[in-house]
Amino acid sequence: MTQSPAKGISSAVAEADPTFLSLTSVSKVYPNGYKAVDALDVDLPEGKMLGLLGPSGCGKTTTLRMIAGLVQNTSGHIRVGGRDVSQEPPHRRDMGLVFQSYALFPHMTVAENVAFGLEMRGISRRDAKGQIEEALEMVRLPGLGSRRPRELSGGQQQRVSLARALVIRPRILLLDEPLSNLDAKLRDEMRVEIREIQKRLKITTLFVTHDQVEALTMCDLVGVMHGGKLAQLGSPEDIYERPNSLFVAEFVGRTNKFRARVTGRNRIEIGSETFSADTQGRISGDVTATVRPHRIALTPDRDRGIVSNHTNAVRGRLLRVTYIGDLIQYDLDIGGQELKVEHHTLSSGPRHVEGEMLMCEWAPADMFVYGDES
Amino acid sequence: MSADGFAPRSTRWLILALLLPMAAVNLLAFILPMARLGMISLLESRSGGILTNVFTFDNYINFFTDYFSYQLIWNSLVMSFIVTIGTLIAAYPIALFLHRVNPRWRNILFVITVSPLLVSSVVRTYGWMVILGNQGLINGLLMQAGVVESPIRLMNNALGVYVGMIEILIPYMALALIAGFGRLDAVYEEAAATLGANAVVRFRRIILPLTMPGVLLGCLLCFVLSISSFITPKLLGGGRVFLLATEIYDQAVVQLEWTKAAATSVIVLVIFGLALALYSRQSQRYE
Amino acid sequence: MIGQMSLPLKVVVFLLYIFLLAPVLVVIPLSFSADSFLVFPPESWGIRWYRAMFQHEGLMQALKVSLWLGTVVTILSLLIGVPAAYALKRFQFPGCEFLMNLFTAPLLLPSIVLGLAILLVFVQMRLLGSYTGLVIAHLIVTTPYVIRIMATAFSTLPPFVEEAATMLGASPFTVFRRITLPLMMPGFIASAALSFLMSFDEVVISLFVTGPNVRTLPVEIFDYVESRTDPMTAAVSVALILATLLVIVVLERTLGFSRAMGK
Repeated sequence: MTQSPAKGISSAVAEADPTFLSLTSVSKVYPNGYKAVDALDVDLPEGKMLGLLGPSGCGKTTTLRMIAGLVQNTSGHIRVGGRDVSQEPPHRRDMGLVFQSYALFPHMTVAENVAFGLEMRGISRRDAKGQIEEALEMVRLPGLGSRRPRELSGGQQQRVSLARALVIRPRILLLDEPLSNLDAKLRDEMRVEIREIQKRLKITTLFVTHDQVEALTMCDLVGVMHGGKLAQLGSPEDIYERPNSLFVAEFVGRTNKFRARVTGRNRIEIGSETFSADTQGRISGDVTATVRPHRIALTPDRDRGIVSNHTNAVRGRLLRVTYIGDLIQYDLDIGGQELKVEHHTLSSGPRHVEGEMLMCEWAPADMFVYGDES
Repeated sequence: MSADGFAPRSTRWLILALLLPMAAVNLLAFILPMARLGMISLLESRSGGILTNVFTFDNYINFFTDYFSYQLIWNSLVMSFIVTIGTLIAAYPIALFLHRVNPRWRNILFVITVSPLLVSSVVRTYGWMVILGNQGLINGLLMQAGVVESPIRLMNNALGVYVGMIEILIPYMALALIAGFGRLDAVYEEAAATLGANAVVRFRRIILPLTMPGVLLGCLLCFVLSISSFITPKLLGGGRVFLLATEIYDQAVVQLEWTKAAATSVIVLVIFGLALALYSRQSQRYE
Repeated sequence: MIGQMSLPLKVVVFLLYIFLLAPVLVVIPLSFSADSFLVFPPESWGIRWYRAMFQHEGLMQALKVSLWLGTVVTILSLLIGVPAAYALKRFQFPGCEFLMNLFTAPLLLPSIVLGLAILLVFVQMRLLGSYTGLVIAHLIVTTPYVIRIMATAFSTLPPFVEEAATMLGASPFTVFRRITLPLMMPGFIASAALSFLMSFDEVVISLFVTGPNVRTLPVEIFDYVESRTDPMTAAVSVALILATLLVIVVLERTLGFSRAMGK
């Protein structure tokens, strides 16, 4: 092993390395020609958490399994701290993996599960004991060491799995959809907990998920994957506020989508209405325009005569009001197209009624334009 | 349909009618025979196997004072032990393979694995006589290749019995193992690998303990089948391999010493019971 | 990768399959030997021993006995085992569990002990060497399997379908004929096939129960092999293997072999 895990797991990690985990044109092509992962490039600084986000079958789990060594990459390089580990078997890679199904050994107690990795590193039972307790304390399960995995709840199994992965002080922590088998409430709790542990240990982490909330709230960096390729890599804010493709815009968060035509520099036309948006240099052609439902303001039509040039405005008839609890959704008809608008609810109740004519407004910066190639 | 608590009177008659034929067969060919076996083992017999009505422990006393009896028990236990372990070693890779192979192959291979069960053990034993005999397949090949000049003895001894018994019991062991492989999921091996376990450690610490229930069940089955088998030992042992089972047959059918045979059978049942007890104690550990 | 099969394992498994099938395969070439003694490989070839097999009176008589016995035992096993399994699975009554264990216990018992025990009782009842005795002795071997298979079949019968049929207006008899029976069919076929094969191959208990006049085929072969080693047994073996193969193919075609084995 490259580093001694004898010290306590909470002691600090050394100087940050800007490319601690580095994937260069990593691909996985199956013998039948199917490209699960296609020339992936990712650099992850030391101590940071990267969320790989995407629909099922996008290659995110395959990527994680290639890093772990459970799937052999067919080309490219996987480097950890500058060293290529692509040819190393999984048991020499020194990575902690938390499985979606937790994969706790059913024939061992919780303590034996956590001890397993330490044993593999030749640490004596006596030395291991303290570390096991410390790890169980960290995941807030002190004193449960003698239980069997099947006697634990899903959330507890999840924590044991995390403790088992962390106790070996792995160079990289890999989380494979760790929250997807938990109920909603527990999931919120674990999100915060995992992130706090990760920050405290400053452990370089790769988190695979199909849940955008998890990716956006927990990670320093988010990579959106699509069809084996990385569609966009950036900060959570980048991904949400500046999606670089229609796929990312639609996959992360909710959005309205319109077929549109570019009529001039930063001018587009949807139906017969004209809007301002960054057309990214285009001056003509068919495009798709998007705008997020919660960035649209609604005002009663009669209040306003003139619409400012600095906002996009369109008149709409309110078709449906749907009460969701924290949100209220308005569906409007704007010249034959449907526009969804979301606002936070107020105790005073909905401000608009079905059938009402409303003015819908949003800033040009909230509208994105994508060519058909994206 | 299914009644909670006590069934109504008419249903009770129906249940009785449905169970009666089975109960009659069971009584006639199981309960009565076993009771009679136990009783006869405690009866005195006159010369020529004629039974008397005198109760005695002589059959057991004679059994335990005869050195040959201990030889029989020892031979039977050693043979059963070696055959069980040999069968386990041979069947385990097959079962592991069947567990991991893709479903299309699994069905075909499963049929191939259990199909020998449908071929009479007499036929399969005869097949081994053809292979192991002095003028059989192996000796023929060895002599043609010039490795040996005269045939080496591969049967009419314990070796032949071991080989034949192991082959005959492989399907039983494989079935028990496959049934017990349910808990074996590749994800546990992956988890162990990421924690630093190499292939050998993974087998010893993950695969083997997880498959232990199947291993124990298969071992129990094979042990019981081999301690009570006598077709294969009789044919491949060539009258030179003496076991409890072959002795029961000789005492009962050749010598017509039924009281002796009954007592020996009770000894076999005791060994069987001990094996069962050992099994249930061990299997609790791997529950 | 992990959970996949390495080449050494594949090679080992291939060799083990050869070991497993060797005694069944080796008799095929031997059955075409024209030698008077068991020599492998044979020095001369022919169908002499097939002819001898068909002319062997004891063998042919034993074949008839075994076929008759297998058929009778199969029918009786179903007639006795299926109602018992139905009663044990469909009704709850005191002693239900105990009876289930009692009826399937002969399955576990060393057959040599059971054979001797049956001999000791049958000699008193004058059932030794009789057809009745053989049938009863074989039933104790086959019925535990029938009960096991049918109990599984009855308990995996989807719940409520019978009730649904009743609600749709079907009489109890119609429910049984149109719903229960078709759903039970794989279980019946599996039980019947297994009963026949078990009875046809049974040798240990038969050895104790058969007399000089009534002998089953496996007993006849056993005695033959014990006294003489000539290639005729190989011819008999090939005939039996072919018959078994036929049964397997028919079963596989009709309902899938794995299901027939009660798996």
